[in-house]
Amino acid sequence: MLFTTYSYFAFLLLAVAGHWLLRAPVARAVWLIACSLTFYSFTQGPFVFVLLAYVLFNWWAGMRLATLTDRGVFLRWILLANLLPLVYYKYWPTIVQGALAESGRALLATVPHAAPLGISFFAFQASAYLVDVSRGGTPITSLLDFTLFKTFWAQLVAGPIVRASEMRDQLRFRTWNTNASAAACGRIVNGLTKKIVFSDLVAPFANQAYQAAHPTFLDALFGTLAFGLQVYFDFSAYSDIAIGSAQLLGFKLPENFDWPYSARSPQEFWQRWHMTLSRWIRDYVFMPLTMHYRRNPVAARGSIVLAMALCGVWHGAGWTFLLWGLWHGLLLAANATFLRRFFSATQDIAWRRWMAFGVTFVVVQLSWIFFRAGSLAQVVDFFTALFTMRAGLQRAAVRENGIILVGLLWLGLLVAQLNRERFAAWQNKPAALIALPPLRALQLALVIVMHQNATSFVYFQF
Amino acid sequence: MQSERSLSPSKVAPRYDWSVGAEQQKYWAYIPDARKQPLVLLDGMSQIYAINEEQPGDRVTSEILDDSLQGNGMRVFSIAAPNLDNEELLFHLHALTLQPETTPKLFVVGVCFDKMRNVEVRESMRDVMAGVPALDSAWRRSSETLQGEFPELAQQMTRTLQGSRARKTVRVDQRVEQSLVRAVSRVVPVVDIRADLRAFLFEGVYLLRNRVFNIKTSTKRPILSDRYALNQQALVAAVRYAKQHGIRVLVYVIPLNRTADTPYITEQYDGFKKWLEQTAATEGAAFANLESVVLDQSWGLLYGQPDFKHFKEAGHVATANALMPLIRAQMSDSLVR
Repeated sequence: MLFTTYSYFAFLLLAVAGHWLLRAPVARAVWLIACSLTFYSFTQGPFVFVLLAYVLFNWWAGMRLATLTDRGVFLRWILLANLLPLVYYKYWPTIVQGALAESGRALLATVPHAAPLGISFFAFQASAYLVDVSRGGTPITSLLDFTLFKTFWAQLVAGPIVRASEMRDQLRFRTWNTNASAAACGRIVNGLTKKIVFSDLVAPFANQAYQAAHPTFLDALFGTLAFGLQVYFDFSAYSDIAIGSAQLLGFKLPENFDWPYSARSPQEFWQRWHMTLSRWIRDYVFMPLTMHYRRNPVAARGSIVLAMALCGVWHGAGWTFLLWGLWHGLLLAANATFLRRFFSATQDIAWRRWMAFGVTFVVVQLSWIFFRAGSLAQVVDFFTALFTMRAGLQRAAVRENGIILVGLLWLGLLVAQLNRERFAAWQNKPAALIALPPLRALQLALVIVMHQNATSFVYFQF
Repeated sequence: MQSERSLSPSKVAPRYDWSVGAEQQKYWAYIPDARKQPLVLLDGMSQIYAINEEQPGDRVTSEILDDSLQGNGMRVFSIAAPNLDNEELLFHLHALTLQPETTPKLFVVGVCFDKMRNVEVRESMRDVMAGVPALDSAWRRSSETLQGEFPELAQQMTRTLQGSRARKTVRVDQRVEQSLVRAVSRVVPVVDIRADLRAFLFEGVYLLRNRVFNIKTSTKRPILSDRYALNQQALVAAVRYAKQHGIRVLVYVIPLNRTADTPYITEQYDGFKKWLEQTAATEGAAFANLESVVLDQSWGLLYGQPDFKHFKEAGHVATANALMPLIRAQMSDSLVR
C-alpha cells in the first residue's frame, strides 16, 4: 500500500481510530499488528509469511541468545540465517546471472523472481536487534510486543530503521497528544507535497536525461541535478509520512533526514542523509571493523570505505551501487584525513564555509550518477559528458521546462535551507497559529490537484 | 483562438478520432470498413483537428477530403493527437493493421518539425495496448525486429511495452484504490474536478513561465538531437511497417504561417525538410511540401500572438485541396470514375 494512495489514508484513519478507541495495551498491540499485516499483505500477498518467519525466528533467536554465555558462534549462525533470505531474494538473480552462460541467463530471465518489499530494511533491523542482544541488550520477551516492533507498518517497508531500544517503551505505553497529532498531520501533508508536487514532477526530467542515448553536458548536468532533487524529495517524503503516521498513534520514530544538502562535509552529509541507515552502518559495521583493526591505522581508515561499500551493496546487487558506496567511503576517508581541515565543521570564515558547502554539494550530486545509472557504461558516459563538456551548450534530451523546473527547485531548496532556523522559530510564534492552517490547506489542495497515479517510492526497490 | 471540436459522436458518424487513445474503441468503430472501399487514413498532430475561430458547419481537412473522395469510391478518416510524436504514429499503424477493416490503403502523415522534440507513447495509448494482447505482441515483434538497425527506438518501444504491461495487471489493491477514488470524487468536489484544475494550474504556470522568462511562440527551440534521431527512426520504421502491410504512404511537411515567427532555427528546419524528402524517396513513400499552401489570412491567434500552426476552416480547405491530387495519384488504381 503506497503512502500516497487514497487506500492508505482510509487505512490510516481506520487504524488510528481503532487504536485510540481500544483502551487495553494488549488490544491495541493486536489491533496494530493486524493493521500492519493487512498493510503488508495488501500488495505483498504471500510474502507476509516471509515477514512472519522473520518475526518468529528473531524473537526466538533473541531469547535464546540472551540465555547464552558464549554468544559468538550462535550469533554468527543466526545472523547468517537472517541474511540468507536477503541474499536469495535480492542478490541471487544477479549472482546466478553472472555465473551462467548466455543461454542460461535467457532461461533465468523467463523465471519470475520477486522480492518481498522492504526485505533489506527488516533484515537489517532484525540483525541489529540480535547484535544488540548479544552485546548485553535486553531482548523483547513478549511475542506480541516483538511482533509489533517488527511488523509496525510505518517503519516496515523503507525505514526509518528503528532500534528495539527506541521502541521498547512505546510498544505498550502511548498517550494521545493533540498538539503532537496536529504536528503529525502537518508532517504528513509536507511529505505528500514533497512526493506528489516535487518529486513526481521532477522525475520525468531525470528520466529524460538517463534515457538519452548520447547525453550532452547539459543533459548530464540537469539529469544529475534533477535526480538529486527527486531522490531527496521522494525518500524524505516517505520518511515524513511514516514518522507522521506513527506519531498519530503516539509513537516517536527517529528522524531520517535533516536538510542533507546543506552539509558542509561528506561526514555531515551522512549525519543528515538516511540517518538511521548511516548510524546502522556506523554501529554495526564501521565501529566493529575499526575496533578489529585498531592496531593497524591504515586498515582502520579503510574500514569506512569497506563499511560504505557494504552500504552501497545494501541498495542493490550491482557494480554501480558498489561504486556509489566506495565513492562515499573514499570521501569520508578523505574527510577524516587529509581534507579534515578543509571540511572542518568549525570554520569561522564565511567563504571557506561556502567553499566546503560547494565542494560537498558537488561530490554528493556526482555520487547520484552511480546511484541512478543503469550500468557502468552509463556512469562512464555521464562523467565523460560532464567533464568534457560534451556538445557545449546543446541538449540531446532534456527539455527547457526541465531546466527551468530543476533550477527553480534547487533555488527554492537553497533559500529554504538558509532560512530553516528562522522558519522553525516562526512556527512557535502566535502568528504561525493563524498562518499555518491555511498554508496546510493550500498544500493539501495542491496535493489533491497534482495527484494522478500514485507512483512508487524510489527506496521501495531496495 | 483555436477550438477543439466536440468529441461526442454527433448525429452523423464521426470521421475522426483525437481522443488520444482514451476512447479509441468508441471512435475506431466509425472507421469506414476498409474491406468495402479503399480507406485513406490521415494522421498527425493538432493541426489536423484544430480550427481557429471555428464557425458552425466548419469542416476539418479529413472531412473535406472524405466528402470529395466519396464520389470516387474512397473514404477518409483521421486520427490525431496534440503533439503526436512518431513513435505514437507507429503505434497507430500497429493498432490499425490488426484488423483488415481498419487497415488503410493509403496512410497520409502530416509531419511537424517541432513534434520531433517529443518522445514516448502517452499513457492513454498504452492503456489501449494493455487491453489488446494482439497489439502487445505486434509491438513486441516490431521492437525485436528493429533492435539491429534502430537500437534506440527498439529500447524506447520496449519501455512503452513495459509501461503498458505494468498498466495491464490491475491488482486487487489497484481496484480498491480506483473504487475509493471514485467514491471520494462523489463526496469531495475538488477530487472530482482535479484533472480540470490541474490543466488550469498548468496553463497558469505555462503563462507565468512565458512572462517571467520572456518565452514566446517564436522563441527558438533547437533540435534535441537524441529525440530528433528517435523520431527519425520511428518515421522510417512506420513507413516500412506500412509497406510490409501493403499500405502506401504519403508524408507531407505541414503548412506553416508565413506571417508568424516560428520557433524554428532556419538551417535545422531546412535540414528537416530535406531529410524528409530524401527519406520518402529512399523508403518509397510519396512526399509533398505543403508549408506554403495556406494563405496568410487563413491563420488565427494563439495567446494573442499569430498562431503559426493552426488555421481557420479556409486552411483546412487549402490543405485538403493540396492533398487531393496527391491522394488521387496514389490511389489511381482504386478510383471509381
